[in-house]
Amino acid sequence: MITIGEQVTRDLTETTQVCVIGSGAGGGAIAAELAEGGVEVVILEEGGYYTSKDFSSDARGAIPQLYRDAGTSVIMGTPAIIFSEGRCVGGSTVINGGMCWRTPERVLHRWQREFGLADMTPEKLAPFFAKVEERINVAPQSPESLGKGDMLFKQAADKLGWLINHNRRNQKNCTGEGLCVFGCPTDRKQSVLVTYIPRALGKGAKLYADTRAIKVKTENGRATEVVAEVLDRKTGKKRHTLRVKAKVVVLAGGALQTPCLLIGSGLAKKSGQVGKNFLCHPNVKVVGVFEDEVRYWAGVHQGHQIHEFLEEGILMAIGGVPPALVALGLPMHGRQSLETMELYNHMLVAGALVDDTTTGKIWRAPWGQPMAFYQLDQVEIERLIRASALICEVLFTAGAKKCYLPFTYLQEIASMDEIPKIYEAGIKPSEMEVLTVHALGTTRMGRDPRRSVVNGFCECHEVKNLFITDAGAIPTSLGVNPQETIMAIAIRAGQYLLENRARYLV
Amino acid sequence: MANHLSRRCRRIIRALVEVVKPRKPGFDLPLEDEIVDFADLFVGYMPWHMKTAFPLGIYLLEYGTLIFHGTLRPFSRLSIEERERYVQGWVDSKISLRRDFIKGMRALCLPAYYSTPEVMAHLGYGLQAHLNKVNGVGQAPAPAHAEACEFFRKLGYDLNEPIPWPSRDGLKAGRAGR
Repeated sequence: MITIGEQVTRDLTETTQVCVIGSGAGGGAIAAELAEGGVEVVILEEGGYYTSKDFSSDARGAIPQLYRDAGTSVIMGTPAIIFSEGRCVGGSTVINGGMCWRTPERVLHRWQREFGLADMTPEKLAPFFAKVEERINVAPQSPESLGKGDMLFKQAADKLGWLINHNRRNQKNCTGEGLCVFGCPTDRKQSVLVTYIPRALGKGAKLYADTRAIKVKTENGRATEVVAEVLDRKTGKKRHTLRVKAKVVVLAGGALQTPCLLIGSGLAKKSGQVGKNFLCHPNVKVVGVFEDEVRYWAGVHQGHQIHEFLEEGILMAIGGVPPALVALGLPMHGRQSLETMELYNHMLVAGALVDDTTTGKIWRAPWGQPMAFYQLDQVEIERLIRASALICEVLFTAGAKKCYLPFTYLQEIASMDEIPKIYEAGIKPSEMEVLTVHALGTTRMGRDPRRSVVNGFCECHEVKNLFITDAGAIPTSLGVNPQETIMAIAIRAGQYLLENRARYLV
Repeated sequence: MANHLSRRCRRIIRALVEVVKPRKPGFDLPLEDEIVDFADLFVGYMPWHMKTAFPLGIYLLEYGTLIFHGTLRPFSRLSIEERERYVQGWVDSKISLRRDFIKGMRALCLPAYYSTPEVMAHLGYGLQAHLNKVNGVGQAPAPAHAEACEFFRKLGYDLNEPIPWPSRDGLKAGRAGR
């Protein structure tokens, strides 16, 4: 059963076995796992409940509906990094590109060595990944769904001898509508909204949308109650209070919101790690302009990724996005903007994500919202510059006549011969345009309670019936898109709870 | 119409919109009011600290003409040519906060402009026709791009073979994998 904010007409109290805060990759997955195991679950989601009927290809409608802060979130530092995440039932899985990768082995080895997560081996995690893939229909794209941009990207990477792979995506019969970032209008992208949430609800879970958890109360070192505000969707103001008394509380509000809630509730303070170790997988965009029409928006979003440089911490991809979002990435306005955007159908937008080599932190502001700080270090800056140059190389090889760059004082280059300019320009961090969609690490997993917030089963070291199953639990940069990792650790935590039902749920 | 901004802020933003709004001779849609409404709406969604700092930035833009442009007239009272020069000064500024502010303002204005049906049609973004084509609405379903479809079929993409996993088999990072 789903209850939206406006249906709540008075203060409410719910009693349940498990209260899950957040309905995205981590929250939705564990809620379904537990509900299917016969556990009573109440899910709280701060965002609204929207279905494909409500999704709009118009940025003016879609962004405020589905994105936190209507996409205006910024991570502070030099440069300020634009950060986007979902805020709706289904969380970021509703607006992401749908890329599904298992956690790379080199990353899992690092978790074992550095964080004592001995059970996190590829072999032991394989059944969880397989289960996630089955639930969200992870599959390669059909040739019918791929656009011309993908063809050019693939041909160029092959010509350069670079390793390129077509993406595994959570989709069923995707036809390449190219609207992933505003919510799939035909439910072919198998986000949590159309997979895990219906499964959980089908087994009796209750979901409150427009409901923001503000405090987790504890008694004798155990979480006992979640206090939440039921919000007015239009004004964002509190309408009523919802109290959920639960035997187990699962936090899955994302790597920014969860530490903020923990700090606000005064929990898990001993380790000193809550809100620290913030990783953001920074990325840059380059726009290539071609002589012939590409119409990359007419095809699936991100059909391929270049994995040639994964060991260097660089992942490259192309993405088809509507004009409103392409214009944001271009360094111009007025007449110049229109004349450039008139080449929209000739453009190919490519991006590169680089592994974090430093960490930032999340601070809870006095008004209760998280503020994120992240200062790129020299290694990342050099990687972002190199990544931009590599994207230009692949775009020029694909036939681009010009590339628009994410740098203030070097805005475009017109040929392969000009690529060295990128390295020689002496680009400072403040002159780069950096964005991110992957926030990780702020409540990281580990065996040692002094260095981590939760253990390998996502259970808080200090509050024994409090679990954290969002991206915050991921202790290091992944190098690939994180949604499948988040879902796998969430259902693993769910299975742990089911196996230890007598200890936690009775 | 949202009302998160004061009338004075709206007036300053409108003056800025007249500068940043994409236009050219023969294609100049009167969307200023719509863009200001959109900016007003988005300000309501900003996190509290940004919502608080936003008017300060707007007033700095308005009265910064004294410091950055050498005139006593505020930004919204300048002629459009003078406003363009003044805004360009912010875009090219050595102070990253000034540059970032204009970037932010662009981000508030451009999505509204480029989401307008007339503008999308002008750019050749025929989304509905594409959706009808791939979903077979009123016609037989067709691939997103026929040439690309043929190309990927030849590569065996329709055989649905499993894709290897990262750092295993083919997905090991390029050079290490070979």
